[in-house]
Amino acid sequence: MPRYLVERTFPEGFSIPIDASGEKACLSVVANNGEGGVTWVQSYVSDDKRKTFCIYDGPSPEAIRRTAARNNLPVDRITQVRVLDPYFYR
Amino acid sequence: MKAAAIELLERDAELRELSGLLESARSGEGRVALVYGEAGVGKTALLTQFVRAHAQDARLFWGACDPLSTPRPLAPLLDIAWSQGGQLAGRISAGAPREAIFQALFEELRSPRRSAIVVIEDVHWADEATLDLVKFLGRRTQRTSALLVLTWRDEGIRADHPLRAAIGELPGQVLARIPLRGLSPAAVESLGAKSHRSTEGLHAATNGNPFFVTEVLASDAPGVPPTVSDAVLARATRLPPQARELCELASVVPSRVELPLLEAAAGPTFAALDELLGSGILSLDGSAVAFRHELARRAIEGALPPLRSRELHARVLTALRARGEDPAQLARLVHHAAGAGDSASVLRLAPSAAEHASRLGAHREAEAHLSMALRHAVDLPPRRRAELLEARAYECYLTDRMQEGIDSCSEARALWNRIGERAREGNCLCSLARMAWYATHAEEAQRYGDLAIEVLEALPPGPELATAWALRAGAYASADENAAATPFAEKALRLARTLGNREIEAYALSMLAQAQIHLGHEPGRTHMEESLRLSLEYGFHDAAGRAYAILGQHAVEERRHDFAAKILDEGIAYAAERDLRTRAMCMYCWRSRLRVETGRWAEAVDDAARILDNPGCSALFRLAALTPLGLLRARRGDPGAREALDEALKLAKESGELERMVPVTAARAELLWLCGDAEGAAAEASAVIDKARKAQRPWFVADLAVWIWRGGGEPPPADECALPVALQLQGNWRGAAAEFERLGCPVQAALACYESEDREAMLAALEALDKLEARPAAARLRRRLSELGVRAIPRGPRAARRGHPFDLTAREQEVLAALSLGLSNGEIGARLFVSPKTVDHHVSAILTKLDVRSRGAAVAKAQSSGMLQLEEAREK
Repeated sequence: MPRYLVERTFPEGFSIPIDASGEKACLSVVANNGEGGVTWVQSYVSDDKRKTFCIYDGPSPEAIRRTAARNNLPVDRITQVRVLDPYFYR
Repeated sequence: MKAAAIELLERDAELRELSGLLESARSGEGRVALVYGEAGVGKTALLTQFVRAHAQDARLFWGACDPLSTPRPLAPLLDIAWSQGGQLAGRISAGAPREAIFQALFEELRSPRRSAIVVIEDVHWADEATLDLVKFLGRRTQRTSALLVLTWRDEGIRADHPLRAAIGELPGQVLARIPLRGLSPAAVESLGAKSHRSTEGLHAATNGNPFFVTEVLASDAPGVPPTVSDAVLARATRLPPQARELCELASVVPSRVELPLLEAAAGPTFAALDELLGSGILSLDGSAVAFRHELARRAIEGALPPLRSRELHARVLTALRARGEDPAQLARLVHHAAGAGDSASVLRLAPSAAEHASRLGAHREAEAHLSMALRHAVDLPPRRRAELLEARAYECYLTDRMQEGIDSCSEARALWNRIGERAREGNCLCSLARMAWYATHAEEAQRYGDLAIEVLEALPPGPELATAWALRAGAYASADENAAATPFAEKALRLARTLGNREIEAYALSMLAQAQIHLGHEPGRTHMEESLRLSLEYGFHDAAGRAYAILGQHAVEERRHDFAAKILDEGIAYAAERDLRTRAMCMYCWRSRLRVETGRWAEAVDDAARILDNPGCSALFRLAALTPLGLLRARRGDPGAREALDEALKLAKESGELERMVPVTAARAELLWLCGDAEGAAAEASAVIDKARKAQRPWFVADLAVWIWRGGGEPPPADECALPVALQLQGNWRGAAAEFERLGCPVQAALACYESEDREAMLAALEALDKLEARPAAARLRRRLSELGVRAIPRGPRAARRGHPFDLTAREQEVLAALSLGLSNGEIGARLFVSPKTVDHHVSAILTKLDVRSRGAAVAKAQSSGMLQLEEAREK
């Protein structure tokens, strides 16, 4: 399954409360992802919390967008990516 | 444990939800409830309880689908008709067309006397005609006071299962999904306590499946049996010999057995019925018996030794036959004849069953019956075999299974050739030509078409020859050799009229119309509409589907978007309700392109996915769906655009048709231009422009010319192009933008000003592109603006539009905040100075946008997504 880097911008900043409601929000994202056949691998968040860079596995960019819409998450750009690490040639 | 002793545990929420839906149906807003879960989760038990509670205040219509090897067309409707009697049963036994039967049921539901509950159980086994009924009722339920309940097993329902498509076509606002889950550990424990059994490990071993749990608890064996099948068989083993024999007999009849049938098939063992029912394995259901669970039936059936199974099927077959060969029973007869290994009966019954199914629009079932007959047709005379093969090929053609159709038809053709039936051979050649075209085997299609004409022109003129000429005309028209198409279409039309064959007349008329439309000749569209009218009037389903598809295609090509949307919606509904997959697929492709063009991108993806998620679809449809998908990816700046368009180009070249090449080429040119390679875009478009000019199709020329011009190449004369591009080439970019805007092409309208130096127009275009999220085009325009020295360029869609996360309006946000305080509509209305009714409208809009069903759920969702804190913060 292809892997994608999904860039998102949150003009108002972005926060997930560290409590039960935050956990619930994350789990609801996971449940919506499951229905769309995509997997959220992990995300990187900028210090000002206005941009996120999310790694997703999914069948197609359309599936990534559809799931983002269900989760009410913005999408700026989707790039198909592969892993490259410093020890690749060892 | 007795059946009656099984109580319904942990289903209060579901029962409440169903009652709520019935309540809304009662007030004249019909609803559709989808109840699904794994086998044994208790769907039937839930509904039995529900309808029992409403026995006094709602009319009940209950039907079920059966797991026959090939389902009986409209089985649930027959159940309903028999239990209701009256007009519905009358129409069915009078052999009314199915639209009339559907309509009769709908009228029955619409009658205002009392609300109705319509249950269609186990729709995962539904035949095509039943799925069409589901679509028919589902689309209209809202206007009735009925609650339609569909149940199915969600295990093993693959993405391409026809049920998924059928559910997908129901209107979202009337649907309620009620998934059933297994019992909780506490519920399992309480069941165990009641039967004085230990439940240690039981919940884990059964996952809370109520059937597994009750079966295991009902079995005397200690601990948890390794499989439920063992549990069931163990119980069956303990039955007295006669009851056990009766149980085995009942197990070969899927779903339920009517008592008279069981009696006739069982003979003296029928006396053991009370004993059998007392065991709780089967239960009485009106005048029929049914296994309390389908799993149990299958466990017992699966354990029968082969000879015993044959013998039981033979007994059921004999009993069924004694009741007369009612067409509605044909599928059952075939099932038992096959189970009995009675090839002679299969061969006699299956073709009639196929014909019956086909007439009802259950084409996949028709195909399955014919395949079944062919499996039993080893020693059949060649004529009979060829007939079966040819009939099967036609059903394959209708349901987009071209390769199987081609295989069958080739074999039929060889047989007709061998026995010297030249006309039939010619007919097969026509079908082969048509199916090869869908597979994008252009040369093969041409060769078959040539052969058909050669064979048939040597014979006295008949319908086969008219068909061959019409097909040749269609092939020429699709290849844009329109002058060559016309004489063939005219010959076909004359011959069809001489023969009085209206169906071929309708086809020939649509081929003639296609060529005339391509040539820009006036009567083209009139002729196409005439072909459609004729086909609808006489019920020529496939010919009607063709007319819809071609009308839609031309409207999309010529950007007549309103008409295109109307005719494609209508055509898709027509084809979907009659299982005409081939025609439906074709129209989904065109609608996908329409939606990419008009900026309805999320919906465009849905249409393309119907084709691309289905690996067995024809190459022609794959090509026609990949093209808009690739263009959409290019316009959104998503990955995979190049790959989609590369594959589409390869297939378009195989098809050899201009009408395929132009859209792919134009999409590829747009992609290159968006990536900054304007010269590449011009080169790509230039490769096809000569062919488009030669065909004199103004929109084809325009779609390519704009990229040649934009990339600095030598564009064709403006007067060969459709209007907006002609204006663009003449330097009138304002006129071009206005014309594209009028036609509903937002991307091209925005790009029209790209080469101008009008900063104001470019800033407006930028805003339009940002709103569409057409990122690459917007980025190009930003670069151009900064080259022109414009300083204040908006940064992007996110910065420009600080909308609410769920797109709620300001008023809706106020209402949502009030909801979180638990206020009633009256109180909210008083606060906001509006009527309670207006508040109610806002609340429904909020529920829709948040995708929830209750006010409480809306507040919960708003809180969990951090939205309400936002509201509160704003209030402060």
